[in-house]
Amino acid sequence: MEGASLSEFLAMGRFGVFIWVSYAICFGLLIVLAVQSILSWRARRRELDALEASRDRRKAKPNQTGQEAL
Amino acid sequence: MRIADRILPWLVALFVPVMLAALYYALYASPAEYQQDETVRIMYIHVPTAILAQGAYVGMALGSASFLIWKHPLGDLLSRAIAPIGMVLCLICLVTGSLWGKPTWGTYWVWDARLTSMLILLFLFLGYLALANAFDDPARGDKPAAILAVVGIVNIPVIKFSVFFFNTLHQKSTMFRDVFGTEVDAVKDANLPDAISAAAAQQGSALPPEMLLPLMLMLAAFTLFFLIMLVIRLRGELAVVRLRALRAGLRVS
Repeated sequence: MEGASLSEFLAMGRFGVFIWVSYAICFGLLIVLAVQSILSWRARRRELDALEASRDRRKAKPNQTGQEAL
Repeated sequence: MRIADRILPWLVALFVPVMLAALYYALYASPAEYQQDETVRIMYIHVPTAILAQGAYVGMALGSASFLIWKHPLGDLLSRAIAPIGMVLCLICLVTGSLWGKPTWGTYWVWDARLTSMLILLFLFLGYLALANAFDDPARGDKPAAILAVVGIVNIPVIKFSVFFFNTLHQKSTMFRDVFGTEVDAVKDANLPDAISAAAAQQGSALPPEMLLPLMLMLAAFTLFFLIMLVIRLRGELAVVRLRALRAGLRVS
């Protein structure tokens, strides 16, 4: 392929369809996997942060009432 | 996990240039093959994904085995993190193989040993994911999924040796020819010209250097991608475990 023109490069002999579709599907699937991995991690992280915040609030409340009782 | 978090940016920084270089060599700066013509370029994504899909399965089975034997939760986390990555790599391998088969073999698919055993590998990944996530309480799916992963490991040697034991359309390994001493005969079996056999014996691979370079670069790039995805998915699985523990704690209090 070295020194080939752009149209020659895209044609890949007469196998352009097979090669480009292979590469497109390959990288398409890799991108889907990467995006899904990052999004699901972020969603879980957000849920975790929210739960931890509500737990901390619950912990804080009994302490205050405890101090009032004293 | 803290170490993994720290190496993640380095992995990404390494992945981008390696993948770009691999693509440059795979699509542009490497020659066409004399029989397969330009279709040989599909090899540069087909072979690395095949190797990594099988490697991923071995990692998943080892994680599951350690979970079953030592009841260590990290083994289960590792398997759950690897399964979707392995599934995608296996799917890419099958699809690119099919698209390579049409111009070279004249068919997209044949039910021969190598192709069928690779399809079974895909089903094993799918089965693992289905079992692991089949229960409302994800902890209940741990054990059945781990058993499936461990039992399914028998498929890995079947894939590896399917091209030797059965009469198949799929060629034998070119990359590792002569690296394993026992496969020297395979070079003669394949009716290769003596000059190629001799060159293969000399350099340890029957693949010429200008094709070995893009293949190795692609293998490195895909391995880096696999590691990046593994760190991200492990983080996700760890968050799930913490969520489960927190919810249980909140219910008690």
